[in-house]
Amino acid sequence: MFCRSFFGSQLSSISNLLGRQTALSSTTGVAMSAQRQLLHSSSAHLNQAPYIIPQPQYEQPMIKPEEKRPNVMKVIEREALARADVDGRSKLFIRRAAPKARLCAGDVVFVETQNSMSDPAATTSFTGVCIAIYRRGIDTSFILRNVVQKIGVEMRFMAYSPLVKRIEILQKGEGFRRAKLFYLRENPGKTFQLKALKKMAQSAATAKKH
Amino acid sequence: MFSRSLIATRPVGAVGRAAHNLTQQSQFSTSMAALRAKLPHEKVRYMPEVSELKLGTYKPESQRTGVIARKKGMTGMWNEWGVRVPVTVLQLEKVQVVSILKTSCPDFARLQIGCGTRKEKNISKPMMGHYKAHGVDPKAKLFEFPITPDAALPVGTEITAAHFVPGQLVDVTATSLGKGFQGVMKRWGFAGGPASHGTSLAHRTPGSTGNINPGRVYPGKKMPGRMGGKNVTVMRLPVMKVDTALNCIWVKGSVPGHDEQFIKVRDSTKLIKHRLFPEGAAVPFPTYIPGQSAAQPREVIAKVGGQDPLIPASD
Repeated sequence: MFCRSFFGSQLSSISNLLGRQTALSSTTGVAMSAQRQLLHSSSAHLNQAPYIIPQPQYEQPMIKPEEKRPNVMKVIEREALARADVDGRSKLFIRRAAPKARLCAGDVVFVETQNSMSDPAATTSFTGVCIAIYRRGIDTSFILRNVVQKIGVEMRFMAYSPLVKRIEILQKGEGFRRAKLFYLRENPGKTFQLKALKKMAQSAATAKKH
Repeated sequence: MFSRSLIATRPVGAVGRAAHNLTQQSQFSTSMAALRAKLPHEKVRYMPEVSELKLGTYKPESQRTGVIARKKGMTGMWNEWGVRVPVTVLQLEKVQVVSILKTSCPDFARLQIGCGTRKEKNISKPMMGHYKAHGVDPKAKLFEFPITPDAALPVGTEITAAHFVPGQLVDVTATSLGKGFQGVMKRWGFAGGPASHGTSLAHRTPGSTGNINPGRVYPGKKMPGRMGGKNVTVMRLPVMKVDTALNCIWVKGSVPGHDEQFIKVRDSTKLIKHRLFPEGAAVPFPTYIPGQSAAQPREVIAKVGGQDPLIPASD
C-alpha cells in the first residue's frame, strides 16, 4: 500500500506513526477466508517446490467464444482479475453499476490491510474519504484521505493486492459532483469533521468477517 | 561421420583426403597436399548429429537454445510476499528449429530458430526453397543461437513456453525504440548549461569538444545524432511465470522495443554472482518434450524466496 502525506516528506514518518495509531489489529486473529488462503499457496507441502501454482487453476484460458484471434493481454487481465477478485470487490469498481452499489468519489471507506504475507493476523486499518479512483484493470487503485490528529493523510490502495484484506463502504457520499476530489486538500469544508465515522470505523474493524 | 560429442572427430571432406595424402611418400603430393590443407576454401566444418528428439541431462557447461518471442505488452503481478512486480509478457508463436548450421568450432553448434508465420506469396523463392528443404512452414523471423552439441534439436522441433523454468534468468535482445535525432542531453546524459545567470543560447549544448592539443575533435566524440533503433540486450531478467496454454512467459521488468516486436530470449550467460536456474528446479534439456518431459500445470509462477521484505529486518 502507498502512504502519501499531503504536506511533504517530513510527515511521512509521522503518517507512519498515525498509521500505527489508527491500526486496530484484530486480537481475535481473524482468519483469511478459505478462498483467500488458496490464493496464496504457502502451505507446507508446496514450500519445498521452487515454484508456485496459482489457485484457482484455470486449465483453459478465458477466451470468449466470439474471439477468433484473442488478444493475449486481454485474456491475461481477465484471468488475473478473476483470481484476485476473491470477495467480490470488483463490483465496487464497475463504472456502469448503480452509484449506491459501486465505490464513488466522496464515499467514506474502511480498508483493512495485512502488514505482510508472513503474518496474516497483523493488520492495519485506515478509514477515509475516497478522493480518487483509478480504474486500470488489475492495477485498479483508489486514494483515501483523512485528517488524523490534525494532519492530513492520504493513502493509496491497490484494490487487487493480496495485502488488502477488506474494503467496505461505511457511508455513501452526497453532494460530490466530481470524479477526483483533490480540492478537498485546500477546501475540506465539513468533510472531515465526522466523529460518528470514527465509531463506525471501530465497529467495522472489530466486526467478524462472514 | 560427424559426432555430437564435445570432442571433435576427424574432419571429413577435402581436407580429410588431404590429411590422408600427407602420410603417403611423395614429394610432390606431400607438398601439394600440405598446401591444399591450408587453402581457405577447404575449411573444416562440424555439425552435431541429431536424429531423434529425446531428453538429456543438463550440465552447467551446456548451453540450451534460445527462442524468438513476441512482446505482447506489460502488466503487473504480486509475488508471494505481496510485492508488486512489473512484468512483460512474451509470447512464443510457432517457434521451430528451422535448420542446424555447420560451425568451424566443434565445441559449439548453431541452431537456426524461426518464429511466426508468413504467407507463401510474401516469401521470396530462395527463402521458400530454404523452408521446403527443411520441411518447415515459412517463418516471419529467423535467428541463430549458439548451443553446445548436447543441446542440439532435430529440425522441425517446436519449442514452447515450457522450455523456460520459472525463476530462471534470461537475457533479452531486441531493437530499442527509435528516438530520432536527439540532442546531447537526452542521447548521452550531458548536463547542458546553466538555465539562467546570463547564459546565452547555451542551455542544452555540449560545450567544448576538445583541447587546444591535438587541436581536432576525436572520432567518436559524443554529439547529437540518431538515438535508439539499436540492438539492446537486457541481462538477467527473471522469468516470473510460464503459461503453457497461451504459450507465453512473463519476465520481470521491461524489454527493449515496442509491442508485437520479435524479441530474442536466451538463458543468461553472464552469471558470476547469480544462479541461472533456481535450486531444485527440473531443467528441460534440451527442451520441453511433451511426450517425455514430466507434465506440468498450465500456469507456474516463480518463487522469489528469501526474507519477507515487508517485515523490518531485526538488528
